[in-house]
Amino acid sequence: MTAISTDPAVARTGTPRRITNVMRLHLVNRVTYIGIPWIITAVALGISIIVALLIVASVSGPDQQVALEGMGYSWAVLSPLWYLAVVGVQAVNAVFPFALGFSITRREYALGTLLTYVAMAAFNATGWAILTEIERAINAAGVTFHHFTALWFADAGVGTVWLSLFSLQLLIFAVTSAFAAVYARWRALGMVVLWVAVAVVLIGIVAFAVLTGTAPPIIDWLFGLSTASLFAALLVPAVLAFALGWLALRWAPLRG
Amino acid sequence: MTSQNPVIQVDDLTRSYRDVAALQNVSFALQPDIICGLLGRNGAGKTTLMRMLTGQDFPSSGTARMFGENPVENSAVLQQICFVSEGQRYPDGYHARHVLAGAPWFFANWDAAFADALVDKFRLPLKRDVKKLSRGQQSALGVILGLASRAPITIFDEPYLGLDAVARQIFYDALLADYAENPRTILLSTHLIDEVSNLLEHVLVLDEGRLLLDQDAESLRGSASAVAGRAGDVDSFAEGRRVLHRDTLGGLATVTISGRLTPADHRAATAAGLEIAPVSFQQLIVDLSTHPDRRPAVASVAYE
Repeated sequence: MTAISTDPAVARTGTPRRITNVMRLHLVNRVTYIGIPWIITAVALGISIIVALLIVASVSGPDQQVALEGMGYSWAVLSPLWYLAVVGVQAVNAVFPFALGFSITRREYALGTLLTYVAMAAFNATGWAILTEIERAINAAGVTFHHFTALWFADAGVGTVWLSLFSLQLLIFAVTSAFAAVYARWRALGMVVLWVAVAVVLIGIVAFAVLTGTAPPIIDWLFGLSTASLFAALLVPAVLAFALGWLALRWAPLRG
Repeated sequence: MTSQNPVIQVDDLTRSYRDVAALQNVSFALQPDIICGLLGRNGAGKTTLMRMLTGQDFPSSGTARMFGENPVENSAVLQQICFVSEGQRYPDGYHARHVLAGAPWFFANWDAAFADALVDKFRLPLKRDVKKLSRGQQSALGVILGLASRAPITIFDEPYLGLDAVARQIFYDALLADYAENPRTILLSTHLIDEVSNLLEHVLVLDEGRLLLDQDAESLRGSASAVAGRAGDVDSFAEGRRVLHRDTLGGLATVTISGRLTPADHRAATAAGLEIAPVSFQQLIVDLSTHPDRRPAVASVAYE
């Protein structure tokens, strides 16, 4: 059978190569993944520096140190993370239809996107962890300033800082992508069902803990966890969310 | 079995959304290396069909096969296909240069020099957000992608929405010239039937989700005639023939008659003082899709 119809007319590219190419496609415009998170980091740091200078200018004596230490409660270090929610939604809303236009399969797209998330989360976490260490050194040198060394990052080791930032980013990517994928597949009805399901699961867990009397040990166990274990555990819901996103996207029709 | 295996084979394809049947029992097969027009009115199901051929949407029943295989999640098959969608979405902040930079990673036959030449011809701005390009410029980007991809099956969905007459001519010329050098299967949906009628080698007409016509363009040309003259003479001439369309103006009438006219018919018409003119592609398809007792009588025009 000399079926032209099944002969490859074009050299076929293997799956691993295609998946790497999906990563390149995500990063072809680097502003989205790298540019904006680091612009936000820079702006937030700038604002923290201005706040510190204002404190120095307006508060004197021992109160000044107290006020500067108060910056340790600032959430500014997490500010670039919220933007990643936009990235997660965009990846499904815009990059997915674009990728299908390039004859990419849903599987290639999902794996390539997951790897892009992992790579970007690792890259950003490394950058922020290095800055945290630099700030720690500055504090050790006698200048009190807290932007990166805030919240739990103040006392955590560099590994924990990295892991916290890494898994938080992955969780945000995965959850927002999953929501966007559920919307792509089932539209508004899917959103309603998903939110109700999340609420039911959360209430179910609380009800189970309360009714079976296991709430105190569970709470003790949670509080007993090290920061590192807690953030490592965040990877579990991230994986679940990604799996949900994939299930939704696998049969999501592309709409105009 | 030789090279005459169809590259696109659709059997009994149906796609229904909740209460609407976008496609109903569509069946056809396309041979490789032809330019095929997919014609039909808005909402006829053209885009739905194209999405099903490229695995972007899923049939409710029936099958679509590309190179003999189901295209859904089939990387080996999809790599041979470039689908330029009319409503293609682009991520925020992507410029045309980003899109063109990514294309060769996925289309093995990509010709960058050809793409550059087309960018110049269409005067496409490369460093502007695709979402800020005009409709015509976005169409030009799609046309460049489709042509430079040189995919063995290239599918254009309304490729020239918003393109001006000059740009459309550039597209037709580039398509024909490149097709001559690199034959491939091209499926093209459009409203501008007369403009593309000379390009097409095969025609599919969809109407309300049904396939109205599946015919090679050559046999379709001249498969219907317009007969004009005094109403009474026209009607007696048309009696017993399949009339696709009838127009009257005062005492004059024009009817579109399907089927080829014989030399005897021509003599009879001349004797009755009637004028016979060929029917344009566009007119024929308009008549077919508005004909009251139209039926999915595929290829009925020529062979009745």
